[in-house]
Amino acid sequence: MSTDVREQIREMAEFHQSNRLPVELREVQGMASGATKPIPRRSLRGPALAVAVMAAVLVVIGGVALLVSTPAEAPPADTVTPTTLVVPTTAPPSPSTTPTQDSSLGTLDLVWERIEPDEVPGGLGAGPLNGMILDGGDRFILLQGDEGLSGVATSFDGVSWLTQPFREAVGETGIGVAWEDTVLVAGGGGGWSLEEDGPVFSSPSVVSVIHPDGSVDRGVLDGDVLSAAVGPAGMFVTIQPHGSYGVVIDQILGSEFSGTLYEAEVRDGVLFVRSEPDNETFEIVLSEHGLTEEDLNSPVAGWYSEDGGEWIPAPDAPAGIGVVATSDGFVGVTATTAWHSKDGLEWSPVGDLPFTPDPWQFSQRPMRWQQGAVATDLSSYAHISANGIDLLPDPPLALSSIDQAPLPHYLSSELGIVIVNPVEKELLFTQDGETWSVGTLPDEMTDSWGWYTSSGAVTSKAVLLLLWEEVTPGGEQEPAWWLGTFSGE
Amino acid sequence: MRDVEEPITVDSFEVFFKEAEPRLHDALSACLGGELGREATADALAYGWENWERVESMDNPIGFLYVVGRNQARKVRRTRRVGIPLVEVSRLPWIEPGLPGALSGLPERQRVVVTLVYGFEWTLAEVAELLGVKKTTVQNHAERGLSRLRSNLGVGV
Repeated sequence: MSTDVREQIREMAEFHQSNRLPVELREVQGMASGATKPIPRRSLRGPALAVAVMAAVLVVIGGVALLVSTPAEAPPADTVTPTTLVVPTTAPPSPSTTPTQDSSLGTLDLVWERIEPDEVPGGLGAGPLNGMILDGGDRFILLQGDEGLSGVATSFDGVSWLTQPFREAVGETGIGVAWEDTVLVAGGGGGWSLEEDGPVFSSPSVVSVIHPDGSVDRGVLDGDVLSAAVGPAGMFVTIQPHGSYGVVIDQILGSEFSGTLYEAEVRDGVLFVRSEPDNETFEIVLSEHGLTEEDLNSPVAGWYSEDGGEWIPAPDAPAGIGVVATSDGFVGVTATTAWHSKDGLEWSPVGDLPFTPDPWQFSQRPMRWQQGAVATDLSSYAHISANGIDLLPDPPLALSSIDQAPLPHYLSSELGIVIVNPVEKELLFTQDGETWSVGTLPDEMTDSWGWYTSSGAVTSKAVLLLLWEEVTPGGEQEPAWWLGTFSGE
Repeated sequence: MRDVEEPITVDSFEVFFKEAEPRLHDALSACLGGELGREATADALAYGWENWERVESMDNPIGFLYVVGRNQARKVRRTRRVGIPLVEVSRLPWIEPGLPGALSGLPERQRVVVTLVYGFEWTLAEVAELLGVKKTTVQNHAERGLSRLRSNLGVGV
């Protein structure tokens, strides 16, 4: 039925449209007046409306980081000594498989400061954002650049930053991960197969690994990079393969092919390629390059590299996993199953997840935590390691609000988990998954919270947030940077 | 919030309602399934009626109300399964029996995009506006979703 997955979806939709009972105007007006069914409104009123529309944002602890003032001369990174968070601590995590609702709750004191755009490192605070904040394990990693990425800034506290230019610019980026001062970014890829939008095409993804000295290794992988991880055991990327056209074209034509791949087709051992916008065409006789048609159809779902210099196919990797690097290898998550690998090549199932995450989504990607990883569907949380899956107790205060807003996004690290909840104007933090502390968010931050995807991260000293602020209600939004410093530091 | 006893801008809301109802009904049904999609559409439009002054001034009121309706449904999810199916496939015996389940098994964003683009035949730009994302993002979700559907159903890509 291949034609027809699309055709059958269309038939289902047509049937639905022709048979559904439309919502009537008077029905809506009756509901609003309370005549038939009042709608819940508690957190959708007044100033909180914009907040509710936007979302509860989960920030995970660890390496975040974004914002921060840039000293005229950035002090050496080694002058910044990470300290321990001033939050209640408990014994190491012993998550229960039975969630509990009575988690203890302490108070978390944060001093919030709005960072002006011209104080954000690398000039990222103004204009279109062309950078990202990454969890470096124990530090904030901020990628910088105007057109493409050209440097990295590192900070433990969000105040003092050490900058390191890249030795060569890194182009378009869609996914970024970091481990200490090693950064992996992936961009490009893409493909389209909707007939009315043009012929089938595919483009390779470029995976760039930036080393602490600024040198860059570049790998070309066919398909879309869905997820990436870098850690002590090396690097791993999950690919949605399109075939191998892009890689072959890149390897054979190199810089000769400067456009965007628009069409690729194999006929009688010849790969015909057309680019856009200049409509250049190329013909590659596969046999002249030691290739066969089968070489163009051997999709691999995962690739491993020890250091970014050479990428090795991992044919046994589960398809479509969201990956994260841990202290002993990698954890992968699908919508139903958790996996573990020591080396990125051999993967073993750890168990079935007790909920259904969408690990490709930024907001639900697995993240490192407690010598393993944390996975979430934004309602439930689980700790995953080579030893199994432990469902964590629900956070104590955030759940009701999370239900009222777009799904939260989160980041995490070995240090703990932070939930930033603009609806309730609070920030929740846990180191062990059981004992939570709560801090207050300033009204100025939450009252104009937009509904574009926000992000943030935490180190042992501070929380950094990149928010989208509504310029007009429900309309234009612009980035706003906030730094929350843990008191007592 | 609107005081229902006050005179209201019925005309402008009615005009909006006529445009928004089918769009929201499509989108929320794609997200939540047929039954819950209708309820969410009604909830969202009721919210729009109550808060019309504010909603009317928005650049993208349908996108805003889509989020409102979806979030209302998430509350319901605590007691009822969200989502699925768009239609009872038993009423369409020529449809691959596994398709509704496979569609329901897609991540939400992919399910919404695939259903709107391929099912309700929205343009990429329309879906992008609804979701507040780039057109290329919609493309990627559509492609990935369709690929995953085909893979799960065991049909060729």
